[in-house]
Amino acid sequence: MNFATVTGSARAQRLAREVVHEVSLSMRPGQREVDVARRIDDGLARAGVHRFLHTAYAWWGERTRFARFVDWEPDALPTTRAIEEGEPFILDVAPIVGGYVADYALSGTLGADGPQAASGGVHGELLAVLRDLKKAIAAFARTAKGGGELTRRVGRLIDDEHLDAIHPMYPGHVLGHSLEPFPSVFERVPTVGRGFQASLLGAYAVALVRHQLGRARYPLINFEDRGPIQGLWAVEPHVARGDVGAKFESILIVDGDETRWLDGDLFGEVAS
Amino acid sequence: MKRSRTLGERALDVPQRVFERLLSGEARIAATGLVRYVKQVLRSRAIDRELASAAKRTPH
Repeated sequence: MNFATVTGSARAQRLAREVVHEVSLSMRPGQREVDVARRIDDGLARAGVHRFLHTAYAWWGERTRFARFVDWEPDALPTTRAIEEGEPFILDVAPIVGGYVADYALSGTLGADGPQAASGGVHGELLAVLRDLKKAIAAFARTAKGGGELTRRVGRLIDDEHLDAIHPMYPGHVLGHSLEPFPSVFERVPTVGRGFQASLLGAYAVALVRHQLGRARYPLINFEDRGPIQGLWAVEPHVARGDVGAKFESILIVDGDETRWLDGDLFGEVAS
Repeated sequence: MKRSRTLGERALDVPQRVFERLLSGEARIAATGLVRYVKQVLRSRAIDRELASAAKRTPH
């Protein structure tokens, strides 16, 4: 993996984080998923971003655990559900910035004047588990024989905490997905509607075909063991208890013996 | 908020079920992913229409 890929992805991730955090600070009770998601997309557009792997998702309350989702892609689209004080939320967006892909997610709970600085109760417990998972994933990725082993070890840690693992509900049952190489042809695919974009489908379809032909690594981290984890990955463990869900999504670099997060802390600053 | 599924989405349940039963591995991920993507486009448009019509009804 070359230096330009790491710095380009870090720059993209930094922008995604900045916009998501800025919008989260303006959230108030009564605001709808669809409006907050649009503010994130608009914020990125003002920064010159017009292409996405997926546009912004915003989930409130029980939707943070994908309650009553049947088909993930349409059901995950932001709705007109309004958030109430004390409810959990998740914001998640994956812009393509200067040819590099970012994928960032923030979880919080909403107070009367914006996100609460410290989540208590169930949500606080979920964030504590996510913090531990973040450390564990970096350690597991160094030694795991493949994504399957990593996924199973993460699943066991979640079980030990008596929480539900929500990430198996994502398309492809992914705990994570590769961010490079991203074929430049897909940078030009126009944005259609909200949610997943054709650039995402195209890039992963090409990667899966190349993998089948023995020319590339498996681009997903799920229950499949298809060789060691190497490269740049967006990893998104998602846990829940009852109607409260929380996740983080950060970039993990696995390059030879080096394994590190671009952002070491939960929802922290992105280094390069 | 409970949003009902569009007619197009319901129609696409059939090919989706067929792919789920007949395919496995990457082919299944790709084929069902494509169907669900089309469902997403249909839902996204329906939501936009709903928002546009609600905005028209709201007095300025």
